[in-house]
Amino acid sequence: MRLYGQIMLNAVQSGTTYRFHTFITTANRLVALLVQFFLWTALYAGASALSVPITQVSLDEMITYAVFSTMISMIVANENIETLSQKIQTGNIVTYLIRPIGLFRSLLFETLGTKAFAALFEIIPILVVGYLFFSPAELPLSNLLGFLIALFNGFMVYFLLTFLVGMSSFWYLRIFHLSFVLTHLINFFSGIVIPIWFFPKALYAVTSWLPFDLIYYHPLAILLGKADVSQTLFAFAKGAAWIAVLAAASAIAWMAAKRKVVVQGG
Amino acid sequence: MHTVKLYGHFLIVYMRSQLEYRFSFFGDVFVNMLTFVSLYLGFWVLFQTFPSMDGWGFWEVLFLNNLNLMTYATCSMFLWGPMIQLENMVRSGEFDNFLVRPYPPLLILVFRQFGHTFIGHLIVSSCVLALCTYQLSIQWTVGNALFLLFCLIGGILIQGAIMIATASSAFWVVRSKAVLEMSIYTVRSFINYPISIYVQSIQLLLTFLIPYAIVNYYPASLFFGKGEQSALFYFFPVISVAVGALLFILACRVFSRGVARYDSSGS
Repeated sequence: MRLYGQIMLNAVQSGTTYRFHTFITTANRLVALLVQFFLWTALYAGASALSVPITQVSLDEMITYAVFSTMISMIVANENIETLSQKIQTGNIVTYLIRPIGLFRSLLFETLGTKAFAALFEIIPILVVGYLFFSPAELPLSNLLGFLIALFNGFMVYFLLTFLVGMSSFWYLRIFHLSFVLTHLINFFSGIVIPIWFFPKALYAVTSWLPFDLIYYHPLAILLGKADVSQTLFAFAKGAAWIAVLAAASAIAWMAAKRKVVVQGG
Repeated sequence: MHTVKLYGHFLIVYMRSQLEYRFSFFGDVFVNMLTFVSLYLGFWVLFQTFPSMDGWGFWEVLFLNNLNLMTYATCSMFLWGPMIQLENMVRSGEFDNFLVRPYPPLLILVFRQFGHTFIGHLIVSSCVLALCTYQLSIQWTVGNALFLLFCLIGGILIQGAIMIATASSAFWVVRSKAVLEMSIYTVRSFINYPISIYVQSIQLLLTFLIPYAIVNYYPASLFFGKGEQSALFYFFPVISVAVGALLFILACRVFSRGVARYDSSGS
């Protein structure tokens, strides 16, 4: 346990040294949030001018969605793809073979460590600004537990997806191809900006078979009270199933990779 | 003329080296097309529910975005790679190489590589322009074709100027890459939508301080005859090119200032 604590502490310390990076990241996210605020405001104004009813969700709720989506993007963010592809291409990945804890767990606790830092300097500022300037809707606290469970699932799904893409560096050198594809699948299918409830039926059906909406859409739908009990339970079950599948795939990938590593000299 | 010939040589060498790995080459192009496919699909979904975006329809918004995409991709083919790497070159001292050549450092920096990945952007944007023409039943005349051409040239110059100017910060601050990325990704994302959706201060900022609005919003709204200033239709292309040229020259000045300030990394 102390070992994991130390890994997390290291990550916190390296976070404090990249203050400029933190500042820029937070600024970028705030601008993105600002753009979304104006976008939804304009869209709702356009709908009410032409008296088209938007039944799924109100403007206030949509702004809340955007604020919390920004928050989730900070919580789930990790450096798996960069770290793994860099370590694999330079050969530094071998240091993980001689550590007393596995590759997966080291990365996981490194990420969790950066979150402790991010909570203070990224997540809280976004929420404060979000609440001061954009006046989101009131949220019932009763949804909080469901939200946290779904958020944990989303975090793990994203962590595993990026882990798998990172691991593919063992076989495929232009890793940015895969990371681009993943980013754009997430941008479209996860509900990061456009909630799935606006999707036409056919696309909705496609989305429900993919893991991406577990990251943003399900936690946010639960938080906003847009998911009833059966939908919430479905989201939990889907999350658990995808985590199991992706974890199995990661384990297989790491086993196959270990066979591929050739240690020269010594 | 000599410059063009020299660039031609550099380009041929670059393409040969890239086409050595054909699979990667086409992968690069394909993957870059996705950026805009996901953005445009997003618009499509939004317009399934919402009837208009501040008076703009789906195809008009696509046309608007396309002006941004075409100008960004064209100038990025030449500038994106060198500008994104400038931070590392300055920090490591590799930039010294450019000072000992018998040619302006900015040109050599640009010549050395070419952004083939942006071919993907251009393929998407050409297809979308054709689709927009069809869907909006745009009647092409000499007048509006020239209007668009000049606005595109102006847009390319403006995007290029912003790229060079922000990347030049490498000579003053250490982390210029983050500054560059902020200006070409985050700030540019404002013009994904018609800027009339923002408060006035943001509109002014995008018109006068970082004039991204001249790249797409003003040309597109004049093109579709939104607003009443139709006399501007004839002036605007001139304004756009003039502003673009001016900013581009200024940006090159900033770059030269930076080079003059550069004193290698030591060691």
